[in-house]
Amino acid sequence: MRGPGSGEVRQIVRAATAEAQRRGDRHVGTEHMLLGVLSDPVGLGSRTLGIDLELMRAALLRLDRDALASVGVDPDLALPTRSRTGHRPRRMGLSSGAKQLLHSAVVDARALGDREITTRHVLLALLGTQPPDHAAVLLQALVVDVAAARAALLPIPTDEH
Amino acid sequence: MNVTQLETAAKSDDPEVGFRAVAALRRLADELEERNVGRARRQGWSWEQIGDALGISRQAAHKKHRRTW
Repeated sequence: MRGPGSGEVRQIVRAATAEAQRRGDRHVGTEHMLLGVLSDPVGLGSRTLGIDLELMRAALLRLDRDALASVGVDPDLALPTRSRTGHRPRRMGLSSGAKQLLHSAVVDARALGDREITTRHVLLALLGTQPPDHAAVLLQALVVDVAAARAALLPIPTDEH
Repeated sequence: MNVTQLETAAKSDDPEVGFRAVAALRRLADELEERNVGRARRQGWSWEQIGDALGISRQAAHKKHRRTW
């Protein structure tokens, strides 16, 4: 990854890329980034959101199934049942939403006076997304208390910058 | 119309849901394409034949699949 980013951010992007490949998606989007922050089961992402990776994957699959059903396609026929873990890793680009997300993480870090971009800032950026952004839709589907999660990540509960 | 039907009708009007369905179908098409390109290559098809079958140029077919096959 180019630009400022700690090993943590690189790890999130790596995990997000693996999630995108696993699903057979063409780009790494914000929904994969959301899965990426959950890749460490005891990491800040998992602890803050209180959701584990499998549950988040299932929620995303559920959204896909509902979407297919809504256009009259049988999800059992249209969704590949096995994940594509055996595939050779391919270079994948970030969607513009995912790029924007990393940019927001940089902005959040600056606003907090942090010199390094960490999981915390990526999480804040994810929690700041709005539908129809994929991460926002996924958070909404899981009824995540976004305000509470954001508050838990911010050290001082004021608007001071 | 009951509540469920209403909800379904409302959802299918939502472009977010529609695009999600498109993306899911594209994943399926990509996987099907990849699998069949593999089969075709193993059976000795040329990139030109594969391109023709997919409605794309030989170059495009090769560029898209050479890393996998």
